[in-house]
Amino acid sequence: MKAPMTLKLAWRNVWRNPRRTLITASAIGLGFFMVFILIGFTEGTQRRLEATVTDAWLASGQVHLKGYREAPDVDLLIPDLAATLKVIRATPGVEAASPRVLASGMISMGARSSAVALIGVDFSAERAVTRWGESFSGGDWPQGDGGVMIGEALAARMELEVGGPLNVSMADLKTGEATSIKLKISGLLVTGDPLLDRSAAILSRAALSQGLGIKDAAHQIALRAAPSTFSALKIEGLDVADWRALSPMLEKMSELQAFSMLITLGVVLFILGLGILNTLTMALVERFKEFGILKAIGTTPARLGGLILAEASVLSLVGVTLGLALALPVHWLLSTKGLPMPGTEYGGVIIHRPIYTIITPAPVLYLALGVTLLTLIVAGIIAARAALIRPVEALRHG
Amino acid sequence: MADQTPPKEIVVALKGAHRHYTTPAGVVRALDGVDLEIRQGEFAVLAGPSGSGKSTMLNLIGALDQPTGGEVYIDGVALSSQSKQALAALRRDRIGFVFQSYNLIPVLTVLENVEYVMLLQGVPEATRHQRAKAILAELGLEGMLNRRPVELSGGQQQRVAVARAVVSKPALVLADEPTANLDSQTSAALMDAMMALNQTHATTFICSTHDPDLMARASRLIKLRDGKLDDREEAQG
Ligand SMILES: Nc1ncnc2c1ncn2[C@@H]1O[C@H](COP(=O)(O)OP(=O)(O)O)[C@@H](O)[C@H]1O
Ligand SMILES: [Mg+2]
Repeated sequence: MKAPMTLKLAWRNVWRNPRRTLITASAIGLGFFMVFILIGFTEGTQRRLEATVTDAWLASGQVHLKGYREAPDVDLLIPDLAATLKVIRATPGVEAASPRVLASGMISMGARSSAVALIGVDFSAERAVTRWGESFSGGDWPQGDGGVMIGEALAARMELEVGGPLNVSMADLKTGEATSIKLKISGLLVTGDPLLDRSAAILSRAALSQGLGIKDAAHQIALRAAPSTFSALKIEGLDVADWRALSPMLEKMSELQAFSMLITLGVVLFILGLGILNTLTMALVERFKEFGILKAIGTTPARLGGLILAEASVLSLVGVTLGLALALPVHWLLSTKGLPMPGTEYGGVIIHRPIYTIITPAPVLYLALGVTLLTLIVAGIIAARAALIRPVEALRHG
Repeated sequence: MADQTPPKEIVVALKGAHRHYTTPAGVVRALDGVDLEIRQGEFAVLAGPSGSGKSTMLNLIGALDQPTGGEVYIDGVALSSQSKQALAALRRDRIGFVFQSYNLIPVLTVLENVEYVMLLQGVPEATRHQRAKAILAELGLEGMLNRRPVELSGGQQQRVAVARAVVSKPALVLADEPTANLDSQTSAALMDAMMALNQTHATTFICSTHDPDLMARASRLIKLRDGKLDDREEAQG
């Protein structure tokens, strides 16, 4: 029966000065709201970034011949492609695999030409791995070996259009002789990956292989697979890497983002702590005599501390409730409708699709822990000061 | 002298009690060698002009302050031998306090204020209610149980304070100028109420005042002047 009394007292004490309480609680609520939405955005941006890179070029991960990533050479082909693909596709966790042939070359139309990366893929296999199909600004996947896709940015620079012809030239691997093939532009891409959008031409693997003078080969196999698959997938002589390993910068970016979120969280919590401390200090000064009387009639410092803790908790709870009342609808809106991203760049990746806020348990737990710890610290400071009040002094000066 | 522990029926005993304050202006001898015994069931009025040491003495007896010399005994126990926790428990269980003014907890109702000390003592809720209501009725406050202190007059507030002080049946009630902020009629009524409680419950009271009307009605008058007992004028009770 003791705790309810303390809570009752605390609740009433907190509302003795409703104006001050509301101001403090609003500040706590606003801070909570900001951090909550920030958490949602950090997670949402992270996911969008991941989706952007894994849907576009990197996929979930890639397989190369050992050494290719360090020094890409057109000669470094994955041996025994058909058998390797079979092994990979049979590995649990692997959803799809797409062999790619990579080379440098030129595209030209009339007097305009541009050096590009040539990417040869099996269109049906590639569609199962990446999501380029969702990012066409015009046109679609090629129907057969005679089609080619390029980025919208490249098309705009070269004044090319869907349905128009395009000359693609490359050097034969053995003879070094230049070959040129005439293809039809089937679609224009906006993926957010600068490589694909600005300086690549995607054609059929068969067509590119023919131009290069190679047969059923690949430099790279792109995978759509569960993250855990990559550590398990080990093939002699091949280099298996997930997208994080393929793009250390993106990995760093996400670490940095998580870190800056923690800093912001810390700063906001610190400011909130000062707010609560200030409010409770004012209350302490005003109620100096009252605390003295409470002690005189037998209230122990521990019990007085309990009362102060209860008051601080009520204050935080009111604040957090206000914050949640504000944050939940906004989060709901942003997590369903999303925040439009008109081509914002994040560490070299351009985000075109909306960012949806995502709330995961871990950061919310940090926030809850932070608010709780803060309340405890502030209450502790005030309680320590209240414990020092001597009833005689309080009664004399009241 | 210190080996002579007072007998049990002596609720309060002061032996050579001193309370000196060291201030920048010099030493203030607020209490300067007081010997005094208060017996179980007495109603003692502590009189003296402002600054004579009344509050200082009540604070020493109430274990809110410690003497700089001499000893204070409650129920025959020397307070200097007790730990802080024991003194807090003593205040909670054995002593009731009534202060000059505004000494109720503003956010609690009349009933809750009176129940508060019993709550600290761990008295069960039903008993708390019943005892608090009974004492409030005895003091003529049965209609005000759910009011807040601000809704009461000064005299009513002090009655609630008296109810709070006596409800847990302490050995001793200390009232420091409880009528200082009341008009003379209300003062007399409050004094009557306390005297009645003293009679019916045999609770020992020490009540300070500088109101001559109240002094005149005291069965035992303890006069203080400059921190010393003014023995010549002490009435016999
Ligand atoms: N904390 C203190 N510091 C210095 N002097 C004090 C203190 N408390 C009381 N005094 C002094 O002690 C004397 C007695 O005070 P007090 O007991 O309050 O008198 P009364 O209650 O009879 O008016 C006064 O001169 C007062 O100024
Ligand atoms: Mg006084």
